[in-house]
Amino acid sequence: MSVQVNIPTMLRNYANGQASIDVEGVTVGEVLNNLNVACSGIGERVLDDNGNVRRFINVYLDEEDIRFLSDLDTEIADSKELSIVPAVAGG
Amino acid sequence: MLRITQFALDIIYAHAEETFPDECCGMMSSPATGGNVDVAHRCTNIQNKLHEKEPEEYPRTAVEAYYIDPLEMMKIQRFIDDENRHLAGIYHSHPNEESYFSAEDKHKAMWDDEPMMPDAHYIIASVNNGKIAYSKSFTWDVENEDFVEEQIEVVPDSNQ
Repeated sequence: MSVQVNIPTMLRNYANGQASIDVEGVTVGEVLNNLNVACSGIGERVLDDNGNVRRFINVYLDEEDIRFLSDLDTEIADSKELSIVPAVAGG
Repeated sequence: MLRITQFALDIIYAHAEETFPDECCGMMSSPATGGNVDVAHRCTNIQNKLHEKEPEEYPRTAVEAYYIDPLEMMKIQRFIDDENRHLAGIYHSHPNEESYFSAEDKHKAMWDDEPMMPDAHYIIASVNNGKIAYSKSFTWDVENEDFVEEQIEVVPDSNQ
């Protein structure tokens, strides 16, 4: 099973400039781990030392925030896209 | 230097006046890397929602902070990619405050010690009592390892 992972502009230097990559995995967590294998270094931008999604990163499965689903355990199932969306914020 | 069309700048200024006394925020795009910024993508500032839900994590309200709705950002990123455009930068306003790249602006624009978007332009519009006063643009400076002010050149809309 694979899903299209959408890479934001802010992380494309880890992905040879690509806007999206197809990645295998049954759950969101598996997909993100496999993404880090394909794009070395991207994982530490997305996940913290405990393997959780970093506070200022949002991950959407299609258009659902995974924090309102089962977080990293959310199954990809029929979903088409997994989007990594860094917080754009300031004072 | 930031080159931006009058049209795009007008959208940013109208947005900044409309959301006063809250901060406005949005993204900017250009037809290609290095091209004139000709589109300002207005975004919703969800800072008040975050503050209501988690006041300890988000102590500021939208009067002195912004957080772009991530779902909107995702859709704008998709539009920019589909149209072969380039995400050129971010804009926001400082209501009743000068235009400067604040510590909070810098903190949120960094991955630890690296800028998230080293080539991006950050417009900050100063709004005084609901009216645009002026704006400045900031960009990452490799030598100084900091965000520094850059010149803004406003170009006619037809000049692509």
